[in-house]
Amino acid sequence: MWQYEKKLQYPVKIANPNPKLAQLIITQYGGPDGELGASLRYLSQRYSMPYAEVKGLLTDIGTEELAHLEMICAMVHQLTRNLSEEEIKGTPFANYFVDHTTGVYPVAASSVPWRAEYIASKGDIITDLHEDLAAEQKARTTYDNLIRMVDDPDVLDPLRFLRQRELNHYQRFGEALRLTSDRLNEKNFYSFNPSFDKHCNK
Amino acid sequence: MAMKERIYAYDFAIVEMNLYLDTHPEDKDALCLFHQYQEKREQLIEAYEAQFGPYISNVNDVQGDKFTWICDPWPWEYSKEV
Ligand SMILES: [Fe+2]
Repeated sequence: MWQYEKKLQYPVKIANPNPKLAQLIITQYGGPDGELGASLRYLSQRYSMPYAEVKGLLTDIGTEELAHLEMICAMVHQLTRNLSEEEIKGTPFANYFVDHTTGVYPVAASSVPWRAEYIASKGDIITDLHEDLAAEQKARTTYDNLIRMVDDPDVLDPLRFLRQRELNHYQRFGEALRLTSDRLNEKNFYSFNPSFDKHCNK
Repeated sequence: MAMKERIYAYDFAIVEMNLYLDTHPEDKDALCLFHQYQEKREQLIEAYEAQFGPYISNVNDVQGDKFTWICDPWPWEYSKEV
């Protein structure tokens, strides 16, 4: 189960609304490499993990990604609060506004709604950990791209925090992959599914 | 740094240590540091609460006749207070 803590993992305090930026940043909520997909990917994969460390890691990183999703939504909310019609008309945000007003809905920057195809849960620890390593790098690249587009320090600060978390998660998933391969018969590393074919364990 | 932000920093350090310990569950130095952070956090929360009341609102905080859990601000709401 989960319990809600009434705080953000890292503060989001954006003084100036900016609907154009909101439309870019929302991609880390509902886009292909966003935090919604990250949390569902890890929390779904944990059921087929044969090793305790990896069950723990997927549970804890999956939970942290929920906190990241909340930070991204807080950024989108603060960037679109108290807008007038004039501030929306003629901006790229107008298209989003027509569909969702200033409600927060999981879409990519390119406006495609969130899709389950963005994640994989293959029931194979080796396959899934490779997916996770790639996912963390894709999220990091997306944060790099966002950081290139932003100069408001109130927005940059939480984006930099979130970017750094992708690096730390990548490191931990790398360790999980090493722990996993250490437990396998080295003749079989990549030709069996250790979550299903139990004989390939040492 | 304001006291509340120092507690936030310990909260974060504990999350980070937790992930490290998932893949290094027998690292004695890390376990020791993890305990130190937890103790430090407890002390700061105690000091904070003696001065300002609950550190984070939870469903058990009822002040007088009011269920204060629902009181604004919620975490996504911008507020100037630190
Ligand atoms: Fe991540």
